[in-house]
Amino acid sequence: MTGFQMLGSADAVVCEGDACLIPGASAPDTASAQAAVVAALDEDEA
Amino acid sequence: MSNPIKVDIWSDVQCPWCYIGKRKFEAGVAASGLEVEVEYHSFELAPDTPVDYAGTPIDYLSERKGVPAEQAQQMIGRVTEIAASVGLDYDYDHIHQTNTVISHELLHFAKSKGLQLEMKERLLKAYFVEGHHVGRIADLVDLAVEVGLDRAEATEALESHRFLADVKADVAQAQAYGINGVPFFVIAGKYGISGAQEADAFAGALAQVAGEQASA
Repeated sequence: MTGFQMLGSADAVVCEGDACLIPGASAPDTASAQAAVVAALDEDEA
Repeated sequence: MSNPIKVDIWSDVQCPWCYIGKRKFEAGVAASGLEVEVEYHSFELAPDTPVDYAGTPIDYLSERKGVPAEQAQQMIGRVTEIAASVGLDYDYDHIHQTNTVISHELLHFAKSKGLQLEMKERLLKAYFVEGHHVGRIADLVDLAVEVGLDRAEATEALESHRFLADVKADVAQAQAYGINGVPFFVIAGKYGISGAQEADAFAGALAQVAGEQASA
């Protein structure tokens, strides 16, 4: 939990710890990333 | 003319998704048509890694994480494909696994000279594409000179470790913010974007901030 209002997909790839030095995470989900941003923008407009 | 939107980015030099995310962020900025002011902050994914780790990335994953070599090779193939999709030619056969703390010190030195963005790009390319070592002072100073930094000043800055406190302050600030993974983007000090998002995500967030600033 960060102190920021989060935008974008919650599923985007991040590196957490040294396991990421060899990338093992899945690819970013483009569709859900876009949907999450749109939803965040809609919430602000509502 | 509106002011540039400040974007703070936590990242590590040997984070494959940070370089991919950097390209996607840059594409998002270009698509937005907005002006941004970027500042990079240090994040250490593996502060206990020795400077001169002798093995390959596959060795590292196998030895320290217990991942079978075949699976590690598949992981590398996957990220290499994604990197290629954003124009990055990752070369895992020649990557030198190392400790990145001193490369972060160099980034802070470069920031003090107004060349942090150039240094960040140079370090990422050196590590992922060109197979340079980014954990030794001599190698780092060569890269620093390439972006326009003074060799003697860069050497002194790294040998004295006078920017180490700045690196640790960035790491501590990330912890205070609850940032556990990188890349992590903070836009206008208010919005967080975690991970290697698509360009549209960055463009949308920047447009939102620009709209808020225009109506303020």
